Amino acid sequence: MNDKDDDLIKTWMNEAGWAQPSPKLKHQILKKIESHPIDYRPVIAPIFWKMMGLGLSGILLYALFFPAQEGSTSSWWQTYYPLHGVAIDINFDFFANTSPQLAYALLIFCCYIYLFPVLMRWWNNRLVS
Amino acid sequence: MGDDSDLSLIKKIIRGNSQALGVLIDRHQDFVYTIVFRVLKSKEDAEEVTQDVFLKIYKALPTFKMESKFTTWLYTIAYRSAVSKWRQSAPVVVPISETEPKYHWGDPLENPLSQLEEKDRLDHLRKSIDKLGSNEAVVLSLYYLKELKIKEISAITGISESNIKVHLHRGRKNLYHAMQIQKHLQ
Repeated sequence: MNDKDDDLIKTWMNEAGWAQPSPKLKHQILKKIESHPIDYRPVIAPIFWKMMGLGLSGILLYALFFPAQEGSTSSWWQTYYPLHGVAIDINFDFFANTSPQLAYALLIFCCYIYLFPVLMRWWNNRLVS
Repeated sequence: MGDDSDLSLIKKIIRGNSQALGVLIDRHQDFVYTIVFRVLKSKEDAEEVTQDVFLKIYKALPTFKMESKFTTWLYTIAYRSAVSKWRQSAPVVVPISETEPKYHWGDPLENPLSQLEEKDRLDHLRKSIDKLGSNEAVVLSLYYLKELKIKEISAITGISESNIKVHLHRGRKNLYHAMQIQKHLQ
């Protein structure tokens, strides 16, 4: 076998082409698939997302509006909360006198509420891909 | 939807788009059928296995790793399903016979007789391919029709690269001889 013969084989294979199924094959495939319905469910159940959302909302609200009591500065959220020193000073007093801190706290909360479904969708898409 | 890539179609199918499933089947059913037919040599069995292949694919789509090539995955399932069916049914392999009718190698445009002869030649060519061993026929199809590399064919069939080369060599040789015998018989 030389290169010329190899070209000849290639020509023959292309001349012979693909095997031709019956025209009904696609219909039969779809029928078979329909008879085995599969319900694709997201890997993370919606109820889990809701519970996680509620939990995180609770933590965020607590962190934003309920500062630590004096002398309890070693609480876990004071230590690990990323906005430590900023949001921690916000308390109910600012409802009496409007302060930029209120807007700041509400802005963070709204961003979170908006971002949560986006995050949820992004995560589901990431799992799919 | 015709310009959609396989990956984009897969994502749509997972989200429940049945139209995308139809497009994916349209795009791949003929070559999947070709692989299966080359192994089983039976039209009915090949159609049945092709249906099973697409059902398997559909069920397994959520587990498909998007970074890998869809066709490699599809052809692997097609080849292995066909081999599995072949093992169950143990088909009779018909050897290339020298008692086939005589054919001529004419110019198809020359006259109606030449056209008929050309048709006969193509029939003989297809029969010769059908009479090759299953592995030889599949390897030749993947190598020449899909222009896959030895490494990819090895990944699809699970046969080592050196054995793929052997099947390729034998397939070429057997097909060449079958066609040469025919040429000399004219």
